[in-house]
Amino acid sequence: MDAAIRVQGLCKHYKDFSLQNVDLTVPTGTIVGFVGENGAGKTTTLKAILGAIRTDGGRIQVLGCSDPARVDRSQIGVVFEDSFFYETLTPHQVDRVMKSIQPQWDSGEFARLLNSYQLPKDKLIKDMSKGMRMKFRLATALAHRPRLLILDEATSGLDPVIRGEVLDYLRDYIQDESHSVLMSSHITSDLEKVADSIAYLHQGRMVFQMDKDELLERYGVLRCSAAQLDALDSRLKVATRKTGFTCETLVSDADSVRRALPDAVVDRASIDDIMQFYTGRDAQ
Amino acid sequence: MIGLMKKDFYILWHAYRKNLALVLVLYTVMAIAMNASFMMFLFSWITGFYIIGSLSMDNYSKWDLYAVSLPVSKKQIVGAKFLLIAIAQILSFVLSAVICLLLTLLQGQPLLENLISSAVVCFFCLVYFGMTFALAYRFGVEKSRTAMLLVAMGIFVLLMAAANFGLFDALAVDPTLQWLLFSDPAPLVLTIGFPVVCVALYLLCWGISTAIYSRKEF
Repeated sequence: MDAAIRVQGLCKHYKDFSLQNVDLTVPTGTIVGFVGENGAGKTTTLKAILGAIRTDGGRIQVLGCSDPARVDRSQIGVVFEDSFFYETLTPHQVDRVMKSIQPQWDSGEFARLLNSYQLPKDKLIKDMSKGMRMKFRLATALAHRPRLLILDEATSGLDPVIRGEVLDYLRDYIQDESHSVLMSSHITSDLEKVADSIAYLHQGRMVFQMDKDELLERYGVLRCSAAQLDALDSRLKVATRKTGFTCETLVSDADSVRRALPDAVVDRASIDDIMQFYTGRDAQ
Repeated sequence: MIGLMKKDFYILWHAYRKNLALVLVLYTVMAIAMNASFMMFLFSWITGFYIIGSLSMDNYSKWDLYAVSLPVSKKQIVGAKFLLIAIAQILSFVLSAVICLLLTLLQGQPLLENLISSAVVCFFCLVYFGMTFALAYRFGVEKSRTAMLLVAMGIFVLLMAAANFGLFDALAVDPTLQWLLFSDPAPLVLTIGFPVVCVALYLLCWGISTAIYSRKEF
């Protein structure tokens, strides 16, 4: 399968933070959920993919092009959480600006998206609610029908109804298998609904990128006594937190643990659980 | 590049249209009532400062990061700003010319002299704001204002020092300078030479700004 984005060994060093050998692949026709705690390096990775920052190592290929300056940006739609047009513009003005910037800009599609998101054409961005602003950014990112969508916290601030509509749109968007989405979000329940795979970045390192169904099937939260936990093969244990007499442990192979400890409870691990255990482990 | 200029125009128009209208009325009235033709030169400064203001607005909305995702080059992003400065100076000259005409009609002030003065100020502003933009791209908008003052102060100190060391005494008798300033074709040479030098410096600032911006990370 072709990759819309292929990142290999990405390194970027700052004084107080480093991205270290990050590998990330967004196969064409899929949605990749990009998760990690605040400051893990998600936005830095997205910036590197877009060529907004210089890298200190590694290779980045976007839509088949390895040179950031030559990537066909008319095929990319981007939503950043806090980076957009100045707040005294209106959707009508943004339409006129983008018509001159994006060669494939479709004013009709833009109007349709504004209408479906119930956004008035002549309202200033600064007079919009947070949710309205986010919907406006999404409409602007989608109106030229890009092949690749990069969304940085694009669903934050949206109410569940609109979030559901956006997720439905994304599902439809990738149906023809030529469109792809890289979506960073703290709302992991959204990613569990739409993502094909999950990439987890933790403290500047990629912990894993895995098929979502396989991830949710493989990982589990084991609840057992300390004695039972000691008897378990340490290779299966990712991180443990003790609550009173019981231990909660994130395990990397739930089926093997169920076989090894038939009396113990092994629940399904959500993406949130996985992140919390990894973060807790490193905090200890 | 048209789209980028449209974006800045909409933003600046929203931010400064009332201010511009007020300034236009106030300065015109003052120029006529106080017989102060220098008032008309202020449009070049004011419009230039408006455009510098667009950089602050870009910073506020983190526009540069968003712009990286659009099919526009960094060269075009800087180019749009520099073209806006040039357009602002042309419009300022047109406004000044209208006021010059009013002053001539109402008070009999010399039209050509005032027009030439306006043009000189416009060309000077072209260089001034070109330099300010280059400094703003290097140090940020706020620091660039201080940096520009330091540059002006540096030039002033250098000129004063040169005068104190008698360097200008030698220049005063320099035949080339004598010819440039006082010969018969001197006005023609200055009329052509001054704009050419200003435009050359403005283009140099444009090039430097593009080089600085191209190396920036967002």
